[in-house]
Formats: sequence, C-alpha cells, structure tokens
Amino acid sequence: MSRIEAARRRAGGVKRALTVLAAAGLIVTGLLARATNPGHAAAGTPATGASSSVQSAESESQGSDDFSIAPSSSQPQVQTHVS
Amino acid sequence: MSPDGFEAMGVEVVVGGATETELREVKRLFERLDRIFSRFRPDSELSRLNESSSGFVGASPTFVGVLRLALDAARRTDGLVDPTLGVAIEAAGYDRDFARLADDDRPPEPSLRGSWRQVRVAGSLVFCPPATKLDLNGVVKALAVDAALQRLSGEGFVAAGGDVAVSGAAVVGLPGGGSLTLRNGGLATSGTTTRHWLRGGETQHHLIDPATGRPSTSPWKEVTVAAGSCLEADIAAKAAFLLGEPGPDWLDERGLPGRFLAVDEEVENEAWRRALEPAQAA
Repeated sequence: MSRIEAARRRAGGVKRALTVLAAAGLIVTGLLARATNPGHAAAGTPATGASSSVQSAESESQGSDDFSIAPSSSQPQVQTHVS
Repeated sequence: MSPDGFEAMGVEVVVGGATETELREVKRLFERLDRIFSRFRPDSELSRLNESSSGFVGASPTFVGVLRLALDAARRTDGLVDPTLGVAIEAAGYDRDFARLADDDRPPEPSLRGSWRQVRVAGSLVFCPPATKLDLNGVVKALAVDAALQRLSGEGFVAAGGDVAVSGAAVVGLPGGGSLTLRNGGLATSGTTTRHWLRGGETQHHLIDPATGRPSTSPWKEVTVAAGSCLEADIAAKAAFLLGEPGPDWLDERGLPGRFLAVDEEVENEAWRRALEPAQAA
C-alpha cells in the first residue's frame, strides 16, 4: 500500500467518524430542543419519572375560583405575619 | 376550631380544623419539604444542586415539580419572582437561618442578577447556569400551606409566617392590625418590616430586585394580597411589592385584591376596596 493510499484511507476514516459524530450531535440537539425551552419543558413533553410529582405539585397549588374576602369585626381566628 | 401550632421552615405553622392524624401528616409534609428545599441544610437536595459544579443535576420528582412551579411564577411575573436569586440573597448577608442572622460590618458581597430563563428542566434533569444558586423558599412555603390545607378532611386553615390558606371561612388577622374574613382562598403578606438586617452599615432585606441582584428599593413596606390559593397570593404579593408604584394597578389587572403599606401611607387597590367597602362604611 502506497503512502498516498494509506493517507487516503486515514482521511476516509476520519471523515466517517466526523459524519457519525455530526449525526449524533444533531440527534442530541434535536432531543434537547424538544425537551426544553427557556425555563420549561416543552408543552406535551412527558416529564419522564417526574410526571406524577409535577401533577402533584400543580394540583397541590390549585387555586379556588370562588375565593373572597369580606369585612369582619370579629376576633381573628388566625393571625398572619409578614414573609 | 382550636388551632395547633409547630415550628417549621423558620416560622410558626398554625393549623385549625385538623384531626390529630391530619396534624401529624401536615407536620411531616412541612418537615419533608424543608429537608428537600432548605438553603440552610447542607444535605438538602437544593444545597446539593447549588453546590454542583457541572450545572446538570438529577433531581427528585418533588424537586422538579416545585421548580417547574417556580419557573412558571417567573414567567407569569415577567421574571419579578425569580427562583435564581440564591447568590444575591447570600450576597446581602442572608446566608443562615434568620434567627441566627446578626448585623455585619462587612459590605455586601458581589451579587448576581436573576437568570431564570437559562434554567432547563428535562425529565428529572435540571440545568442551572454556572455559579447560579436557586432559592425556592417562598414558593415552597406557600405551596406547603396549600398542600397542608388539602390534608384536612373538613373546613379549616393553615398559616405559616405571612401565608395563610383557608377552606370554608376564617377571620384572619392582618399584620399591623385589622382583620377580614377569607373564604376558600389564600392570603399572603410580603414585606421588609420583619426580615431586615444591617450589612456594611446599610439595611438589607430578602426581597431582591432580579434586575440588580440587590434588595429592592420599592416604596412599599408590606404588600398583602388575597387569591384563590396561598401560592398565587404569595407570588402576586412579591411581584406587586417589587413592581413598586404600579403594584396596585398590576393586581387590579389580575382581579386580585391588595393592600400596600408605605412608610407614611396605606394604599388599597380597587379590588380590595370593593370587597371591604361595606365594613368601612358601617
């Protein structure tokens, strides 16, 4: 095998490796882009292993639609402070 | 309804309407959340994430769920309520439990502004920009109050510091005097009247302006907000405080009643006045 042929083979190997790496990088980038956006997982993306807790945390914080405040002159049942 | 109380997350938690079993469950809930989210426990999940040098950390489902809520709060308040201000609050000197905090002659440390938009959550993986520290305390405490209320089988209330959530109706005493009846919702007061200290001769507090990374210069001392949940009220109270003068209108745009105390005046937004007018007229 001539030195030129050996160099060509080495170059071909490097090219194939770069192609595989580029493809892998693209797949990872695509997956990350699907899975995340700033500050959030994308809508509709299942939160693997965490979905039950996410739903739990969200359900724990569910607000009431019919909350109200009204005047009172009674003695407070509970005193609040400042956070 | 004779209330019971216990200490957790650096405040007194008061529960009304709970059975003994429910009260034990509420205590466990607060203790569990504190173990995960405390800034002052070196073994908490939050501390481990904040000390991570790689930026990528695997997190528990509970941590991820709460972080998502905090990021959602940041999005809904245009970044005013930012969970990435851990470095800023430590720079101001709040680096230990408030009960152990003392005035300090040293000037505040260099700070970092908020960077919540750079936080990524994918499944159980959390990424924070290098040097960023999360502080989820406000969200966690309010969420704990809401979650604790859901542990009660009947009507009742749960209060922790400036946060209270009510199922049914309860007469709630406001900081600084006065009271109101809160029905099926939450009420939160954020302010600087209780948690403040001196650092380098300057007054510091825990309500950080995410744009500067320094304690806010808001004209308000305290902002009280009522909402459908304690978490919603807490987020809105902090945002309205940090907004400064536009705070009352910002709350009205969202249909939330709010009371604002400044050094020399009290301002109530339209929703607050509308709800409480009958008493004032009487």
